[in-house]
Amino acid sequence: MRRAAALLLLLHAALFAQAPDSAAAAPKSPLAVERFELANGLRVLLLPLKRAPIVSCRLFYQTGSVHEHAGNTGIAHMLEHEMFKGTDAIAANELWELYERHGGTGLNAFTSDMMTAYFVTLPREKVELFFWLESDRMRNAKMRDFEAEHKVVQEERRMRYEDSPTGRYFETLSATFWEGHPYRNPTIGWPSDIKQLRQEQAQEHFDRYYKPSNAILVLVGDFDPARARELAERYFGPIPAGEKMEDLTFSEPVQVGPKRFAQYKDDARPRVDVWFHTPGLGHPDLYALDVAEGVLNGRSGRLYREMVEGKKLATSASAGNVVQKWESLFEISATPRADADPAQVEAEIWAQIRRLRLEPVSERELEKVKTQLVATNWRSLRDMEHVATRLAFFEMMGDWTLITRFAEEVAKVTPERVQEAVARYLTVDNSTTGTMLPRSASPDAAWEIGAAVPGVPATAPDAEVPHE
Amino acid sequence: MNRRSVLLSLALSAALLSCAGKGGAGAKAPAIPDHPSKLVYPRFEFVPPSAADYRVELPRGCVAYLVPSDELPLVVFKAWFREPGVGADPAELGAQALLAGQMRRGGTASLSPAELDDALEGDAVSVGLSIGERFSTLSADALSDRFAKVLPLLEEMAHSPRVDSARLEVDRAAALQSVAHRYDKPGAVSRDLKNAVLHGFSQPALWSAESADVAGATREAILALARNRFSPDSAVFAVSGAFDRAEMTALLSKLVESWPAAKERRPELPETAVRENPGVHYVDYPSEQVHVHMAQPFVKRPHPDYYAASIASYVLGGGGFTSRLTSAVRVREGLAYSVYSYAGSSYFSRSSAGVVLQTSAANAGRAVSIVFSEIRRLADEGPTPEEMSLAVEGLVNSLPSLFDSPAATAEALAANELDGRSLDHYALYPGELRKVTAEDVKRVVKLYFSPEKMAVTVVGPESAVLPSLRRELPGLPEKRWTVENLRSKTEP
Repeated sequence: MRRAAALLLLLHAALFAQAPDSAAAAPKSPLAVERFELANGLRVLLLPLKRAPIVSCRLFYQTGSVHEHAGNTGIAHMLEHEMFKGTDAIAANELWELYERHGGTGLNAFTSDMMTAYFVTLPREKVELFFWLESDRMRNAKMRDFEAEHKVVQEERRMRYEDSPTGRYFETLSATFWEGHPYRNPTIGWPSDIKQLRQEQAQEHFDRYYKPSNAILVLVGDFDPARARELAERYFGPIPAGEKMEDLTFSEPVQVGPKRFAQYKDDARPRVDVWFHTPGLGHPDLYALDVAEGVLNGRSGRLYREMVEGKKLATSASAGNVVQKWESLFEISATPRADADPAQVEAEIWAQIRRLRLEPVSERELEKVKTQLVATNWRSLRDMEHVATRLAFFEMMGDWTLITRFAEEVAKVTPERVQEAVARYLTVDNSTTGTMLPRSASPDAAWEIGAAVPGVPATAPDAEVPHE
Repeated sequence: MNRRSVLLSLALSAALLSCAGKGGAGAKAPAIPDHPSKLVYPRFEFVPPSAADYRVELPRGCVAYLVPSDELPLVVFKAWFREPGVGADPAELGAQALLAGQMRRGGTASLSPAELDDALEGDAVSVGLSIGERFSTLSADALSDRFAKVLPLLEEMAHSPRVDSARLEVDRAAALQSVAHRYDKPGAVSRDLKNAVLHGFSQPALWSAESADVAGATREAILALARNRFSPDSAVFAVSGAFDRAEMTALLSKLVESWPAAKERRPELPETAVRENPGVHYVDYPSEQVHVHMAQPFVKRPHPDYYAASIASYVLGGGGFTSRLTSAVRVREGLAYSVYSYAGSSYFSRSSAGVVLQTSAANAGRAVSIVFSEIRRLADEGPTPEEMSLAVEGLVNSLPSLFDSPAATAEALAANELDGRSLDHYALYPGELRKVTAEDVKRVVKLYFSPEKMAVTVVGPESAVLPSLRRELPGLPEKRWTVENLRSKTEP
């Protein structure tokens, strides 16, 4: 479970200030994350870590592309850009200057399907600046310079999607996979929607979602929790709670049969992706799928051994158990070798799924996967900013301590449960297959090349598929 | 964090707790000022970790930076080996491209590739190797209770690689595919075009392997290149995590004493030559965005102009939204998502200074014109006092983030050693920045960010880019390059 793995062992961790001379002992005491809610509903998570005299400060709003619909996709992301345009007291982009002057690093923001985050790492004595600026823009953000920022966002889309060899491929695969769930909306927005976004829409989104009852504040680093609590109360306490947000009620319809999508490009680096619907976070089958992922991955995993090294069908292959709040997905991907038949690559993916379903995973495989999971979880605690994001992610899932149950649940996974989960979810009817292949592999290629029409190019003109 | 900063940290924590106590029930919270510039912060001066506190001298001229921390049950290990000369011979390009992968995946004298994979992954050990033209590196991180098993494995991988024939062919197929798709993104073309324009093609160390190089690399050539690698003489180690300092010192001492010395060492590579090459150098490429890189030669460190150029770059385009280029190109005109400047830092060769941006094809000329205009304005007028203050304080105050974990601290101190800087470099760094004057900044902008000297590399659709550039910047000499020039290492 890639995302859940991040903070798996937080409660079991022991975090101590660095001692220069000796530190051979294992962790000694549980990690304390202090969580509280203000009267207006703002949730605050505090994790003191005395690694360096800095604090990773983050404010998350529970909104993203899942709150958009056809016609306004991209508005959550557009608003994220506008949030740097100041308030009554702060001029446009002055926030950056204030943070930078006081040693702010990692200053940025991001928007995802379910959250919009604003973050900075500050020297510990400057943490109050974060409370001042973020409480101010939660209440008073002004939508300034919209026209210029609107152009910037269109440039960002060109960079991330149009000029990325797989940008449109994954966008289309995702929209094929999700039939109705708003996960199908690209966070940056569909091109025609982005062009039509208006300042009023950004303001509406801000008014609806940017309020204490829909936000989570996280501090990780070298700070005093009592002082942080006092700052949270002082700066955010007076902000009205706002209307309570209701959770999404939409459920993806049960898939009725296999779906396929193929993109053909002259210069395609071939790839095959098979995606399966799986339940949202908290479902017990996800832990078994974590183990399935581990058994398939790595140089000693089955995909590499069989597809890359054994049958020499692919140059790389991997699996991912991507856990999300409402609905999740399990993916298997491969990059076929230049001389391989992509259909054979796909067949081998299904052969590996069949094997997982029919044969119990070995004790050695199970032990290896569990050891790797433990190590991955510890590694995920090395970076304070990463820890802060993980805390907020799981809090948004419902409760950050959900992650603590993960360790116990994975430990309980048996080979039989892996088989059952694979049989339940990794099925043909529940699959969506994407392929990116050279144009010569297209079923139309022979026709295009062989049946030239006078006055019409023998092969499809480049202009038909711009920039590919 | 060294002893001094730990003490300071404890002192500040105590002060904060004391304040919190006084402000308990019934105490009135301080009023919120109407602007954050009026906030008053507790006094705190960051003292960077002292290299001497963590530095351990090992046999054979090796040095280790050991940062013990029982925070997490992990050990993070990295070693840099001074190994000059890889990359000097074009005939070795293919072997060089495959060697590091084969050391990890090709097995060892005593372990088949599958056995090595199983040994590493069974214990969840993450291993990295790189073969560079001046340094090779070996890194690993592992659960602390399994780390003792890791070093012997690393030793075998480094000194007794098997280069299994079947694994070699698997890696070769992947490498060939990567080479074939190297230029699938305009950013990759832009990077190599900039290198070609500034460095030319006379330095094989800067070349990337092509298909013929990869296809022709034999097992014997890879083994030959592996010989004499990872010799511990003068190696530098960075180790952090849950270990006892004395025990780790003993472990590393034993390691460097037992590892074989290189029987022959290659000559040092000459410094990488860099040249001025003004004008527009473009590649016609079917992208939506144009990738523009404006660059000219800079200095080799240590150099008296370096800190002034750092501040100049911060003011110009390195300081995020507070910088002039971001304000003009992105905020005011909305022409680019990304625009920034840089002043390179290398202790081995002259590096370059420049400006990078991406914009839509039709706006390329406008964006470059604005950049040139802002550069000239900064060169003529110099930075304002506010800009100077923001740049210096921003750079100084961000120093603690360099040491935000035990691993980061160990690596920063090791990097300092590798660059040959004094042990108190990080302590002296704020003072060096504060010595820089506005006049210094004006002078270095003229020297190192000169529109007249800059090569302007452009990757994008020629039919839209060239009219835009000619309209905004008439008279700039133009040179048309192709991806084939980059692959064949020939100038047009």
